[in-house]
Amino acid sequence: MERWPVFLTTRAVDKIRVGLAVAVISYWSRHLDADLTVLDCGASPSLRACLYCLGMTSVKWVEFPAEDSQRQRHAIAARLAAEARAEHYIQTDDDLLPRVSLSLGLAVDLMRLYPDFAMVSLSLPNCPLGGHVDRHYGQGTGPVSECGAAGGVRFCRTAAFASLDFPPRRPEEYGPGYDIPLAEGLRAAGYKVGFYGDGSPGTLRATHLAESPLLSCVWADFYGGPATSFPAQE
Amino acid sequence: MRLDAIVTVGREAEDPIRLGMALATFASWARQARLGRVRVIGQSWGASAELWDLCARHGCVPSEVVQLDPVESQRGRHVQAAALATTDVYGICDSDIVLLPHLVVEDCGRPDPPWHEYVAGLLRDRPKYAMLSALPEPGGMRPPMGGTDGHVWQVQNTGGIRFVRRGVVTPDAPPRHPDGGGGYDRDLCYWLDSRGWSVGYAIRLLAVHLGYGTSSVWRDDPEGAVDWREPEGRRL
Repeated sequence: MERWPVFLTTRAVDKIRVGLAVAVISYWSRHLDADLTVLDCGASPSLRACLYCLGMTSVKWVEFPAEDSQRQRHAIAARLAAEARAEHYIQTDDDLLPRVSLSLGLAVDLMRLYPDFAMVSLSLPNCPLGGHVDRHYGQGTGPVSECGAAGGVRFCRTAAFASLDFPPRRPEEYGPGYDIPLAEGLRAAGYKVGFYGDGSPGTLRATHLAESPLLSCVWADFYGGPATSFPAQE
Repeated sequence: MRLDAIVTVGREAEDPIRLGMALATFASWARQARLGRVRVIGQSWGASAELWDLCARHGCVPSEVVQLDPVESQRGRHVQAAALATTDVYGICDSDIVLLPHLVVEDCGRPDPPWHEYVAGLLRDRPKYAMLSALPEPGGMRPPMGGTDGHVWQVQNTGGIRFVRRGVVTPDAPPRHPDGGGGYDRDLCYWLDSRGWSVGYAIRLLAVHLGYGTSSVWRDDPEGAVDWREPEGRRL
């Protein structure tokens, strides 16, 4: 049975986020189709302690600097996937929980039908606009829908990323996120990005557990810092 | 003022995914407890030792943990919570849902107001209501009844994070109906309705339903929820 590399980035410092990361890492570590590597850019040591307590002692773990982590994690995942000679890989976060019945093979098979797409993400029904960034960009509501940018649980075509000159972040325009600069870089290389759309199987969905700027590791500062009572970094 | 928050956790937390969600849930309530807004009581029926061990490591152990008889746990949790509560309004909450104590979606990112006083005031000012729930996402609302006054939307039944008027749930609460699937929300709310009470959502109190799609109760139809705010019901 084919297995696909899954690169999960975590920066879980807050106790709530550690709990969410435990849930999501548990999901991927049990997924039969997934070969999980955690990319750690500053997570609390208590996350690894929790996983150890739960018997998840064999999870592959790569630490990397928090500086420019949004860009670096993509570069690291692309390099590791190319070294593993994987045709496709998954790049995801520690707060995104796919449906229990997610088939990685089905998602990859759909990607193969759309060779002009470099990256296709699971739809996120609990996010504004279903997680789509500029969902009206490009084609309509087929199994794979082109969007201005895509994030979340990203299915990536290794060949597209391995040769990509990853563009720099542009915080003055897009805040701390990197999805839009990355999408623009992929488009400049001749690829599209998108989401598994309304015409795709219902299993190609995920829940964004930390669906609030206040729970976000990336966006809380952008919104003026954590609220007075929630969720202060601990 | 302060609310008692009774958080129910069961056998499902033996599963590492659900355990992580329970850990996040208790961490969120512990933060509110440190702010003096709630007293957290854990209500356990077979929760794993690992959960309490991890809660201890994180400093988010409830002030008290009571055991719940697994027989009729769905009904029993409500009756036991009613007996445990010492505040006029108390919360009875699942272990896979995190309250986001800002009052409107558009207010995301702003410091939150004292939500515990807000929800107690909602019940105080609306004497026909027995129970109000935070609005969960994903999952959305249960079937609505009528409109909203901007703060409360009456529905047929609620669940998740429920704020209950003390005294309305009594030991003669009905048993779980065998045709109701694994849940009890509908049984309880219809019983309250038969006694003249209404239930609803506090639509400006949001909650993230971490366990949506991995339900320990609704295993047969984990993805069958419908968002009733859409005109024809948006299948999530």
